[in-house]
Amino acid sequence: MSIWQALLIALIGYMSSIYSPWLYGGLAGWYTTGRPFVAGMIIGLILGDIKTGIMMGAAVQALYIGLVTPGGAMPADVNFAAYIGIPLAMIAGLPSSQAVALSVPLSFFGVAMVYLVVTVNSLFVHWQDRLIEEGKLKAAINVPVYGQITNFIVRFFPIFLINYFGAPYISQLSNLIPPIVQTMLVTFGSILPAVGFGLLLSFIVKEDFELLYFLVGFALVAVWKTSIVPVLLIGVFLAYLDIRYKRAERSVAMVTEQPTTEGVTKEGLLLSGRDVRKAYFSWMFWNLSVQNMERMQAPAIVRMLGTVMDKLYNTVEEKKALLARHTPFFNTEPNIGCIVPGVILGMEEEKARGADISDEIIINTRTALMGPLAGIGDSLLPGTYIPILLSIGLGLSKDGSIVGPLFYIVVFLGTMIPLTMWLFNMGYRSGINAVEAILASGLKDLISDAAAIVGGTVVGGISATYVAANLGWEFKSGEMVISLQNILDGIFPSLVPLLLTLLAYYLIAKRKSTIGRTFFVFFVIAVVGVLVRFFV
Amino acid sequence: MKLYLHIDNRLIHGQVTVTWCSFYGANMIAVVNDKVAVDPIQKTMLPQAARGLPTKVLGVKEAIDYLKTLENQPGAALVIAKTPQDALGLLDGGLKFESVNVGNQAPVPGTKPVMVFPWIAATPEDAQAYQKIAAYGYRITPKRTPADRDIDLVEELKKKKLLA
Repeated sequence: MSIWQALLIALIGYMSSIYSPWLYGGLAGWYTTGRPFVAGMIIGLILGDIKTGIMMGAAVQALYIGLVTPGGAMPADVNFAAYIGIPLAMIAGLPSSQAVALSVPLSFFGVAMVYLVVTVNSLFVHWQDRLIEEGKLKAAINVPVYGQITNFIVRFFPIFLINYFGAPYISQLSNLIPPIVQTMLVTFGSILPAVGFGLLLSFIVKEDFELLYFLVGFALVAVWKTSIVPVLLIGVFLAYLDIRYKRAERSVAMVTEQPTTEGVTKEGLLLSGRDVRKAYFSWMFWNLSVQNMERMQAPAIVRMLGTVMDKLYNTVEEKKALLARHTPFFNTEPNIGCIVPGVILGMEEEKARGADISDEIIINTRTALMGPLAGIGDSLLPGTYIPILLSIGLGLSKDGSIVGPLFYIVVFLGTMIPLTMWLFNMGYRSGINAVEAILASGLKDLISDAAAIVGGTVVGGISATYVAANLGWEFKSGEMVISLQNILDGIFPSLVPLLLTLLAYYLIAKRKSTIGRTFFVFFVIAVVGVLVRFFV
Repeated sequence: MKLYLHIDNRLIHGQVTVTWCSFYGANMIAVVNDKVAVDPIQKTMLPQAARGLPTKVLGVKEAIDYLKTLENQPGAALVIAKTPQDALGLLDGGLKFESVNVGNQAPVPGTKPVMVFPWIAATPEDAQAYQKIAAYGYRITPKRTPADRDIDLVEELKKKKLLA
């Protein structure tokens, strides 16, 4: 790997990490170029082999597809898994299943970095407090920018150094590994995506019978070799039937209330359309930039209000008070939840115009909204929408086609950017009524139910594609050799991958197994399976 | 109903909807705090955040009466107390729980808490409440999600000199 390639990978890897602001905050970064699937395409492009990059990215992605990271509690970090695991595996010419095996320890290394950053960043929070108190407001609102340094250090340097200096050794290292251990690693990597899909299922499936949707999707691909688009269509059809059937009982809740815009007059507004857009972009880019355990996203709210404080107040004292009342703990899902900073902005403008709104009301509203929107946002976005889109993308790219990652990028950003703009504006214009109206409309539950069915079906389809097992047992009777693989294929193609995925689901959903422990169980299955020659 | 007690001043949020509800196999959620129960915004918002699980927002007294009526029913309920004092109130009211866990306790503005863990702030009063909860025979864990390490919170409070 040339030094330029390593630098470029490190730079993009850093920009794609969870707390990096540069690519539309998390939207185009962490949730787009940060997904191993998209990262695989980018790394493939840099290293001159897009197809291999995408296939490796897809394999690593399959493992981490069900990973949701609520409120900064992170079980595994995909950043190093993707931006170190994939390049090294490509340079060494490893099969993609070994890239998956390599990504596991790297993901735990990444988690250590996350905890380091959120702990150290508390220093920046107290610094921001002091700056506000001293009236150095410009500096105070730039704290999220300065605070990015910790994230840069723990991402850019490890990715660069390990890729650049590790590349020559990794191929030698893989030559030193005895063949049987190699087989174990390949087997481990091939069955491991079952954990990813099991985790995702445990989240999507609310009642056990919904596993039927998963089975339908699995059978479509395993038995009839259907490609992912028809699987998706069948999922949508099933969801339609379900919703149609249930609509009668829902009709009461489905009455959509229009948010009231009463009492909001355009005249005398302090913020222009441009100011509101500036606040929106400030929030979207910087929301996680100095993520810290103590106050979470509060410094970003301070920054957002700081970008428009000159329009709201004239005196330094008033501006200080504005920023100071937003320093306490704030945390929500930043994208769907961007309606909350919108509401805050609207309330602060009303207050600045002289409306009788006490500090306490603003803080109470903020506190009341942030939790619920985090709950809704985490379950709809990283818990549902992103894994479903990724699943479709993975299905489109099973031979390393570039269509899959491009599909994901275009559809995800093409929907999320307008949606977040709309939500932020709704919050700003209609305040808390907007949030209540959207939530009370029942639309959210409708989306969530439909997504469970479409998601279950699609996940079934890609499980059949991405979980693999080569069986070794053969039975001899006279001249005839019957392999276990053939017998099982006669019953149900890919039966072992199906059972492994259901096992992962069972461990996670029913036995409450953690991800680390489930990984370990699959590691043991791979090692023992290879030792008794069940897997080859 | 099996009752699981979760002390969390962010109430219903991502960690709750994404991990705890399915971990406990909860059929319903009860949020317990006297102030929250009379706040119209939170009363409408919280049930909307629960991913379809039936949700009650109750004051401590109401919660004790209501949760007692569930005793002989099948299933599980996730009981979210906003503060350790709320949790203690429930125990003093005679409720029994399968387990007691603390999720997030962000510092409350105007108090001078000690950060026991980066996500758990505690004042000396909070520490007393935790100790009384533990005295009912519970081992209090400080987990944000079920995968977090299994630690005894009271031991940590002693290490931080909040408890003797």
